[in-house]
Amino acid sequence: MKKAFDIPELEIIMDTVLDGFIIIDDMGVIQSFNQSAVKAFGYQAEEVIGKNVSMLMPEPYRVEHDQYLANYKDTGLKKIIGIGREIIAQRKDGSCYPMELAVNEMQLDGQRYFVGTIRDISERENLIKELKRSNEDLEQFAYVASHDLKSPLNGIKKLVSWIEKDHAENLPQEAIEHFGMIKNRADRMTKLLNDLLEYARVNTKLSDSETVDLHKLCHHTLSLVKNNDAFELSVPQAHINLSRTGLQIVMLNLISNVIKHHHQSHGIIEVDISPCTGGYNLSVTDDGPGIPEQYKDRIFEMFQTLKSRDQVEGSGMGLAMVKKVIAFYGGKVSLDITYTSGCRVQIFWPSKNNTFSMG
Amino acid sequence: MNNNEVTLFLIEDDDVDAITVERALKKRRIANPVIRAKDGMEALSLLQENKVPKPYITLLDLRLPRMNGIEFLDEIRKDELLHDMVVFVLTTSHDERDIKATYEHNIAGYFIKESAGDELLGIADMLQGYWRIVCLPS
Repeated sequence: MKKAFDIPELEIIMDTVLDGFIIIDDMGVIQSFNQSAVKAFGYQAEEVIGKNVSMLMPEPYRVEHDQYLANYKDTGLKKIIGIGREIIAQRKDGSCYPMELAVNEMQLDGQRYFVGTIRDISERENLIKELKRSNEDLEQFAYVASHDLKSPLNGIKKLVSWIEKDHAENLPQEAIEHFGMIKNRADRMTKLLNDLLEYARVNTKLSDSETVDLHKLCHHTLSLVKNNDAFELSVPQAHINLSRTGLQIVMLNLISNVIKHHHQSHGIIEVDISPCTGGYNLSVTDDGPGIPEQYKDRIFEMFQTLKSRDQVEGSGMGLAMVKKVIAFYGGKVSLDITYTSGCRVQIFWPSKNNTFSMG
Repeated sequence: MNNNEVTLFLIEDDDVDAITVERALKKRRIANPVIRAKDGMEALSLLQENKVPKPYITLLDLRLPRMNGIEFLDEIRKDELLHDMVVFVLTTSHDERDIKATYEHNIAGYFIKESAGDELLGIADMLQGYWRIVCLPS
């Protein structure tokens, strides 16, 4: 029986399409199979037409496919039709590969058919895999490097402290000062390595969303920061739905930055939050010296400081860490350059369930 | 048994760490003799040549050149003469796998350098208490 889509002209057009094109009837029997599908599966059209399409998939998709069709016929429930998804396909030689499948339904001469468009995504999947692996390598490298670098550093610190302890009375004042500077540099390097280690490993610590008392979390965080006595923190009494560990890391870095870089020994920190489409807008504002606009991007990079480390001790990893944590959740952080009476960091933090209750 | 005669057999590649142990012992006025090997291979040959007088206990680092700590434990546990050695592990490694693997080799205790204090005084205190009352195979 000749079908409406068996017209030669149509076949020629279909064969020029780069995507694989497969038409099946409502029993799953293949009616049409274009050249790209031939290339993708290794079967000639004649080998598959008239057979069930499940031959192109490995188990368990094979069984599932028959059930899908039966289900759809009985219930009209669309699991894939009009949606598309990634599935595993099986070639003639038995090898499997990931592909993207989009299915649509059509009616022709009172018959129902399904048109499947397929695209080989194994290259994309391989790239993603490769990228994941190289990211893991990098994290592992940072971890091992900072771990191994710490040990000789500890050796240096110990040796200096032994000289000081054992020979303090024989050392000229200048030597004692210089030993002090060695220890200070060694401590600084330890801090750099610890922060690098922390940065490399932070993703493993990040938790899923939960209800968080923002007021409590921020005040607790402030209590962990050195020299916090004269800093006033105002936070709304809000319960929100975010990652607790993520928020803690972000707040700790932002609040300790405010205090560390403030031009006075006292100051005001204001945290504000409101729900928005797809998450929350969060901001942290201070009355410190502010950050010039030209540095708005650089401050979020690794190991960046705007002052000499002899003036303000810091690894320059704080905001990089903030950025990494927020990026992990798909959010955004930036400096509000319109705010000039201090510094305001604004954050969009995605949350699927952006509940917000005061009190 | 006079426990002052217990020798501490230290297997440690880092000179600073070895001195740290010696200084900690000195600070706690522990005068027991210390014999040091710089890796598992050297430790094994010192033991086989009877250069470590009994009774002794061993303080073993894990990251070592040539033969690491776990490989060393492998060797002694299958050695007819050395399998009953009392070995404490002293390492920078926090790795769960190291802890598990070494206890599976019947170590007497696993200590992480950081937790033993900057100057490893915790280790000296532990050894002092241990030596005071322990009975070792002679």
